[in-house]
Amino acid sequence: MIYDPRMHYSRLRPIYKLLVVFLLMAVLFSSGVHYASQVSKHQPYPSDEALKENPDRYVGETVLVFGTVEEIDSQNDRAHLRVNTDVGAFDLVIEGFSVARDIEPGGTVQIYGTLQERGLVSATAASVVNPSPSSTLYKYGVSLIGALLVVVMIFRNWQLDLATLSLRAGE
Amino acid sequence: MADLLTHVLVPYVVLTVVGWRVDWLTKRWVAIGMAGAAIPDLMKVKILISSSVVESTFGVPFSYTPISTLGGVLVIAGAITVFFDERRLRVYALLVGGGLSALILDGLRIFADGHSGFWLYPFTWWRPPTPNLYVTADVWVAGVAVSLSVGIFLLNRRMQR
Repeated sequence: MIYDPRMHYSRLRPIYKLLVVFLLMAVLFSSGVHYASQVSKHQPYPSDEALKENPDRYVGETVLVFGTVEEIDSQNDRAHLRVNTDVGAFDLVIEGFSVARDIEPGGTVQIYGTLQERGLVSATAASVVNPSPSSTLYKYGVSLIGALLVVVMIFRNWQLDLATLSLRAGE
Repeated sequence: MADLLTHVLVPYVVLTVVGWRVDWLTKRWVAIGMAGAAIPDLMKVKILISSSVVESTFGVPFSYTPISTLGGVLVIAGAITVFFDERRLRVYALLVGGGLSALILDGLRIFADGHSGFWLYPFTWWRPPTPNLYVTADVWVAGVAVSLSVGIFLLNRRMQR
């Protein structure tokens, strides 16, 4: 499709486009603030920060934690998990770690279970997020290919007009 | 979330196939749908500027998570649509559709307690149950997406003749 200057296109002047984008980004930023302030009320489990700062309060409760596996003791079906929070990291011993399959030290996992005592969680279920440290590399590599694919697809089919800050059909 | 490649290949496959029936759904519109599917992945910006940096700069609690929620997709798709002078509704619909497909795909992942994240924010804080199908590190997921896409790509070329 060729840009035809005789046709009427409903166009915003570039400055108004930037204004609209700025307003939308302000809405997005506000939602980031709102979400952060409200999310812990809607999570049925204590947050990682709460577990770090007040572990005794949650003994006997169901927890959902996410961390990096430091070492695995298969004989005793246990593992050491390092949980990173916004207020610093802390360690947990996970009992019944065999619920997490195919994971090695350096991998990351989500553990669902009960806080038996300070620093000890007995796991009932797990979700292995990264089986090994190299999984992160795989994810970034594959995602980079995905990002390049989208960029190529867009710029092969659309033309960026910097004067009007618009994308037009064309190559 | 599923990897970005799998995210963008889902609308590629779906829209290319639908495009065999719908005349206006050409490559350039498939590209828009694919871009929409990349919106939730924009959350990765937190690798560059962590939420703690934002929190200490502005003195407010902050999370990037809304970017990969339905609300975030609706807002970001709007911001992208601003840069199109024509067919804005179509652009917006494809961007939101792409973004929604990515969110739904992510909702099929394994979560240790059987429920996915708050991806329907801000409309609800309900965490939909998940069929626990895969984790992002599962190579087979990207493998299936790529194989299917290559197949559709070749089939599409045949159909263009």
